[in-house]
Amino acid sequence: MKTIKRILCTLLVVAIVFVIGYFIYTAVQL
Amino acid sequence: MSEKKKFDYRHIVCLLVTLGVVACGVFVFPNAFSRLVESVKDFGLSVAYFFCETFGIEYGFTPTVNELPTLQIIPSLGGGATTTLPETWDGFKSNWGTYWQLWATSDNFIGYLLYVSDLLFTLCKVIIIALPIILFFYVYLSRYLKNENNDYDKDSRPLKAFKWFTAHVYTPVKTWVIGMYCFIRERKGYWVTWLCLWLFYFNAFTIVIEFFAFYFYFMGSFDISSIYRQVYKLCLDLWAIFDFIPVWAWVVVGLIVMDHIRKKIAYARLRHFELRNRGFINARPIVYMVCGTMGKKKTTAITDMALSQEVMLRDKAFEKLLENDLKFSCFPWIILENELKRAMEHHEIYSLATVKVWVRKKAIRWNKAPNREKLFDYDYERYGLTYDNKLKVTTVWEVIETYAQLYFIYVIQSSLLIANYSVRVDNVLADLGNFPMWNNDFFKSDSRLVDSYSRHAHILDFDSLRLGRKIVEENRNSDSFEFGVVVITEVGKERGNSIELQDKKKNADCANQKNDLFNSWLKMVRHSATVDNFPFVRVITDEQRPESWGADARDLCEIVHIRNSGDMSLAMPFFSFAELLYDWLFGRFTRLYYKYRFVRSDNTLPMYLLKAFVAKINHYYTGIYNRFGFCTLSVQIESGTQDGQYDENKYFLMSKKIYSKRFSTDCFSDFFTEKALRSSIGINDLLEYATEKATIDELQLQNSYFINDLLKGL
Repeated sequence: MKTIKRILCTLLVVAIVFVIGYFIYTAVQL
Repeated sequence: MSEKKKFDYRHIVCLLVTLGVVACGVFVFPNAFSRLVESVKDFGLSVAYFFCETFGIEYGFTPTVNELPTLQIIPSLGGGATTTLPETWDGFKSNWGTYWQLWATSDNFIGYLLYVSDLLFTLCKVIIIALPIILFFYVYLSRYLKNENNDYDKDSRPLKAFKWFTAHVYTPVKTWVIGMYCFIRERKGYWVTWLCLWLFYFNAFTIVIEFFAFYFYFMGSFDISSIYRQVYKLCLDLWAIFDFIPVWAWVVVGLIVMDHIRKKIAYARLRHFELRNRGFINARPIVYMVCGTMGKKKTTAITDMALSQEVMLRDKAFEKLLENDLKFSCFPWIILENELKRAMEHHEIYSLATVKVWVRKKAIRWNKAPNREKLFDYDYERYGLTYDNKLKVTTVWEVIETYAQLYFIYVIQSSLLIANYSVRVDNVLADLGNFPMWNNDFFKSDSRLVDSYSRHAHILDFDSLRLGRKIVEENRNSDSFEFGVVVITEVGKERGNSIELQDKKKNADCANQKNDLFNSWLKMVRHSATVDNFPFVRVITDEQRPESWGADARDLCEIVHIRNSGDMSLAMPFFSFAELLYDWLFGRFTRLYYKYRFVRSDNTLPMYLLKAFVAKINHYYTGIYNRFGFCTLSVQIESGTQDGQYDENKYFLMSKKIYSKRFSTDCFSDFFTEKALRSSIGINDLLEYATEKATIDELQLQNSYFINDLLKGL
């Protein structure tokens, strides 16, 4: 249970970084 | 003979670094100075504009704060900000729509995925390079596991070579770097110069001056449309730092900032838990008992509660000091405080009662011949001698008596805990000779320094809590208790219940639980400790079962049942990846390490390096959990009359607060150590059963009531 929670938290952080990265990438492309 | 001071060559290193920094400014940031000059000009014209507009003075100049920089910020690097951000607000609005259109296109998203895959490819390349090294390391270590030996603590040849290398190369370099760091830190001139130069190159001074320039311009013009131009100029100025520092360095900076933020969040959460705990304690009556079976952390919980309660008593005294201070706002309280301190140093004042006597003596002296000196230099003719709170009129001497008692409670530096086991307290009183302030932070203390300022709970002399017979009749401590936090662990064993006390007589010659009037003390405890209508006393106890303490005393309490002690959790966010990595690595290392220990006893290079690496990670991980770990106790609160009605609640135990050498969980262990030392045999010497079934002789060796009764019937 604890490991699953940790994996989900890690994936959440990765997802947040991915989304923020997309915003920055689009701004640079402009 | 005067000794000639030796010149430190490190000054030359610092001068060379300074020259390097200056050269960097000349060649990489040649326009920083002109930007600074421009900003000063903008500021001057804006100030002039503001005054001319405000006072209606005619002027023939135009403020330049909205003009763009005449030179590029970093000529050698191009200055890409101009291409990304439009110069005008209209341009920005047009780009804003285009941005979202682009954002929603699949081509852009696919392009982003390709960019991410490129990054992942780079990461894979790093892994591909690292993998053979790890594999080689693993094979190298496995080779060692095949050969058994008993070479106790003998270093292998590669390890000896490595140790020689670290002793002759790594350690001197490390020592020199640390020495250099300390050298620079001690000499403010060097690092402040470098800091100022870099701030200058990155336009920090320009940005500050431009901000004030625009502030004055805006106050004179209220030109809202010019705000965007300032944002644009700010971006141009900041571009110097964004362009100069490489991406990898920004990643490092980002990680450091993230680490700082998550620690800040963790401290905020710990303080929030502490406030919730204080709310929980405040809701309890003056006497309460914490109950729970063995291992439910009940002594830990009462220690934690006592530590918070001690801080709350001081906080309350502080709060009430201010209330009384404001009753006579022009009273020179510092004069009174200094006289109190002197009286405390001479042991003229050592309790609340002596404070009262001391103040009353002064009042009598003043009443005989009133003057300012006898009233702590208070100008009573000008400011008056009474205070009306619309409920009653209080005289200045009554307020002085209350203030002095509160100050005594607030300022005493020894612990306010009086316990039947030792508890370490580490609150620090900062005093510059004026009003002292307590630092009550439980979470930021340096574990290496706590011993230097720690104090411990006072030894609880139970005679001081007895109003009737005492164990030592002429006990000098017997009348000493007035206020504080009384902490009694295993109270039932000390006080007993009605069944256990059946054979004790009230009229016995010596003190016992029936004639010592402890329960009467418990019922009247607030009387000795009340100052300004607040009782500065708490009695916190623990026991495994509530019934172990006699009903007469227990009925006064609330019972806090610890039902469940939760797992250790972390108050710091964004640590899950590190935890996953740690669990994976540590599990593998433990298996490998004990396999190695089973097979060999010598020291080899791969195991030396692996262990050092894992130890570092382990220390970091343990340090994080010890600083930011907490566990939640599920508690139920019941009335002391045990009416069966429970209120559910939570109590938080924070590792940094409660496990930092606070108390010994085996606080009575010295008794058992002494008892065990009297024995000449240990567990290894005890007889074992010969088979799975005990013989009659073996049963007799148990000295059991039950077995003896059975054997009597044979």
